[in-house]
Amino acid sequence: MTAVAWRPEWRAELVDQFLAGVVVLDRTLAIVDHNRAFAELFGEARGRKCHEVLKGRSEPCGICAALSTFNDGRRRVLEQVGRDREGHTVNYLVQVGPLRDRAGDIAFAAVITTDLTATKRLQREYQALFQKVPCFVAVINRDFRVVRANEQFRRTFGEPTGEHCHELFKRSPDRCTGCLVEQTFRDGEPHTAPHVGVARDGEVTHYLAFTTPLLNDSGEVRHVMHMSLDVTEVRALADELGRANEIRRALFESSLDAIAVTDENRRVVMLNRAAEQLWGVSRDDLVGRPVPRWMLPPELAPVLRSETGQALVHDALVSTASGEKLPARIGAVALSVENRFSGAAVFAQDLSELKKLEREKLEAERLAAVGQTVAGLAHGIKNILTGLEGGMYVTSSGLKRGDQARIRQGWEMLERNMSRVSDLAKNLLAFSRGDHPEPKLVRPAQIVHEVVTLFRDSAAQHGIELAGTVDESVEAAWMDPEAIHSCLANLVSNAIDACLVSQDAGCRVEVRLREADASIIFEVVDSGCGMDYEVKQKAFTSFFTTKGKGGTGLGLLLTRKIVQEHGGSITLESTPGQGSTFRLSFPRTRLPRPQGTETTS
Amino acid sequence: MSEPDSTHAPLIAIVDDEEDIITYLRVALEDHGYRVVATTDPATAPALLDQASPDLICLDILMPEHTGLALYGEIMKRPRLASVPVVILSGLNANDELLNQIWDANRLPAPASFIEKPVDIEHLLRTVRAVLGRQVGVSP
Repeated sequence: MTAVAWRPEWRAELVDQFLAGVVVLDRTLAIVDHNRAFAELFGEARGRKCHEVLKGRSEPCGICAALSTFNDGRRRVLEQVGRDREGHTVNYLVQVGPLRDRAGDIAFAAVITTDLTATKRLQREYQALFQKVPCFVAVINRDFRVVRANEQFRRTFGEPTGEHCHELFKRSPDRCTGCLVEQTFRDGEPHTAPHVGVARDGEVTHYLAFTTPLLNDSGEVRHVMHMSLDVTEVRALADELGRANEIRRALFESSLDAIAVTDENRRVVMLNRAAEQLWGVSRDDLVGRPVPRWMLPPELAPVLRSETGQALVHDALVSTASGEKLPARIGAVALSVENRFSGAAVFAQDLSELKKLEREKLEAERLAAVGQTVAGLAHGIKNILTGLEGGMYVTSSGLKRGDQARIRQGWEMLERNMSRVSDLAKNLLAFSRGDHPEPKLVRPAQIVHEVVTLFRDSAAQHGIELAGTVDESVEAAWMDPEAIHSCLANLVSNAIDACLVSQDAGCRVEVRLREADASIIFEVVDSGCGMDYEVKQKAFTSFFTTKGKGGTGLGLLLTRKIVQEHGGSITLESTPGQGSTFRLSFPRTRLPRPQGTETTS
Repeated sequence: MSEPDSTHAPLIAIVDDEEDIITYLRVALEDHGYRVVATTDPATAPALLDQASPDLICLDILMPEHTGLALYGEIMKRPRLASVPVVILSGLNANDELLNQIWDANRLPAPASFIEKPVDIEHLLRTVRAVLGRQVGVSP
């Protein structure tokens, strides 16, 4: 390459290459010449006054840097605001220097204009950002003093007047342990950590702090910018959430009901301790896997597949991992997050203990009833004994006197009281025997028809109408037909007796059957003598009888026992002189299970 | 054994809901020369007793619905019957707590005698004799 010598005439070209505007003014402030960059910003301006071109003024500016330089020959630098060729506001930096002639007089002034508009806008934007950003921003020097702080910082921690950062942030005279600012000064890297501050009003403030090095022109870290985000409320929310979670966890874990939660793909998400115990499984084995088919009764499957919102199954038999079947009340509810199916919660209550208690309670009630009534029974037995003794006495008196009528009278007394002893013994045995009902699938209507047929003729002989009012649509149910038959027979027999006592003509006994709320309801209604309060109170409770000669006082007690063993209840409505209604109500869900489906335990 | 003169035989009234017991007592008492009037119905008993004017009343107090006890109170209130000795017959023990409570609560006078069922007929006859003898002793 051949060296080319620099030629002074190239200077004009050089000036035209400048990105800054270059203008030459004469002493009248007229623009003698300018470069291309100047024209681009302010337009063609040769021959025009500089104040016209730069500021759109007809008069020179009050403080004119060029005039001052013409006067004193000094260089000047100052920021100006003017208008560009299109009339927009322009921020520009003006550097003014003298151009001297050979005599050394200042003939012209050279003015260099640098467009600062973009820089200024950026500055303003950064300033606004610094001040308005919704976090605490502080610029900290090497003495750990806050030299600048934004609005939010000043509002919360106070106006910095040369305090140390820890004095402002924490109201503490000592530097914080693990100081982020110190770390950034040391390694020139940004750092972040959560901190606890104390606001001006003494309130504890949780914040997340970031530090960034601010470099000077030599690349040294002279300041650190410390930014922190107030997370007090987030923290409070997190605390609350944590507390709520803890409560939920404790409830879930200590619940006596077994709870299993599945996700939308029927995989087990959670399992509590009661669930582990009920199903005999370990959550470690099950969580994350699909619910085993054996775990749940089929009625619950739709809920787990989102087809139905919820299902409750009463008294189902739940299989355990070891194949045992336990009586349980089990249900499931679909879970949805923002209206989308997200899984299901299955809850189950182990009823085996309850069932055992129920059996024990029934047993205890029976024993109590027997015990309670032994005293009452004594009266009945004593009466029978007296009857037997009387029979013997009357018979022997008849024999002594050769009185045939008296002998027959005595013999009848013996016969009658012997049969009473026999009845009493039979009833007592039936009652104290702990035998369970033997359920068969029977139509309740069938039982009613049988009882009505059995008593219809004998009732008619006493002028009593016996009728059955039967809803034939009541479906078959698992019941011990003989036991229910003897309940109804007992009640019908009582009702006929009540009619006989009332001595009203046209007395009527009705046996009704219907179903309501999934309960099978039998009613025996009579228009007989009815009962007063005292009799009603005692009707079920003892060997109480109002029949004198005829009753053992065990019939209703036996009836109640059978009803209870079928999971049902018996109620009595009665008004003296108007008759009585006995109602046997059997909820279908509580009826005994057929043999073979009951647990072996 | 000395039996009462049949024309002036003492009249014994029996109120018991058990027909068999009435038959038993009637035969036994009649065999021993007493006259007997009896009813199983506590409702009509006061009128019957009033009319019959018995020398002694045998009363079962644990008839259905405690009417026997009410009947005892009723008898004690009637001027013509108040002085007639009453022998209580009961399946309950004379020391029965409930019985005594009811007795006290109703301020009932003590009966002439209290016989527990089953009735020992010899005991009853001895009691009847003793009560009537006492009665004879005090009456003019």
